[in-house]
Amino acid sequence: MSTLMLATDELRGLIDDIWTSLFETPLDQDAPMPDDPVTAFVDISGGWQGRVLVATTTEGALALAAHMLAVPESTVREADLADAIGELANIVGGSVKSCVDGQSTLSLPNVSRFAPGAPGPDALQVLATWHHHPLCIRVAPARPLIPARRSSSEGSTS
Amino acid sequence: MLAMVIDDSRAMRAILRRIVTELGFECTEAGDGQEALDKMRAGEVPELCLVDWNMPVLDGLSFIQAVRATAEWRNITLMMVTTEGEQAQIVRALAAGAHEYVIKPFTPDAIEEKLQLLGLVGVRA
Repeated sequence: MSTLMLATDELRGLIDDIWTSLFETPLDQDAPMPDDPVTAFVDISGGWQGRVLVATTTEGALALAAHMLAVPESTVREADLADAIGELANIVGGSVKSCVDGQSTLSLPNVSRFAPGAPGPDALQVLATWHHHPLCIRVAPARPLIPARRSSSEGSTS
Repeated sequence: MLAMVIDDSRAMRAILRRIVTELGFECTEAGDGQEALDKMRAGEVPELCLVDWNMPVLDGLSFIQAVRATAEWRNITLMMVTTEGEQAQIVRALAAGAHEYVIKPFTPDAIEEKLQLLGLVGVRA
């Protein structure tokens, strides 16, 4: 069984490094979870299993895509927007995967428009802004499927 | 000198294209390893490939193995540019025939430095 050796402040550090490398600016102050976000996620499989998710507003995804493609925002297509936010999830996911001891694999990114909901108690989450666009980055372990336990009054002969 | 950027993300291809163009390369692109092989078999053979690892259809490691199995492509320089940062993955890529390895996220300087090490770009004064 592998473990993820990452704390929230270390996740924030990873993300700042990524944003500084790609966008020349680290993320800014905390912000609320974006409403009606564009969400991209990658899954990590292996000894540690979980999901790494990046969510932002449509305007935020548009700004990120325009910056990565070096084109005006007015020329960014829906496919470009999904591509850019998906690649960011891939890069964050790869950085998180390197914090897992043992072998694991990274899925290709999935992108859709859904609100991630509230984080579970064991999730790591960073809420921030980039050029005033809210961003949510979350690392959540997969929930193990626990078979229902029989109650102590069921079928016990001891 | 022709560089081929092989990545399933158009945004990442755009970033790498800007960097290598700035360094004096002509640039062509492929969205996965199979598309890259198809282009090369059709005669568009680059001197340098920058290859992502995780791609649909044909991943970067399989692409590198296919290139290394083809005698007439033995002079192509292969550089992996990927999120796969674990030591074991780096060893696998280098053992398969990659010459260099860059972990995403990267800066333009990091790419330039690797290409200098490979002797494909000059050291700036």
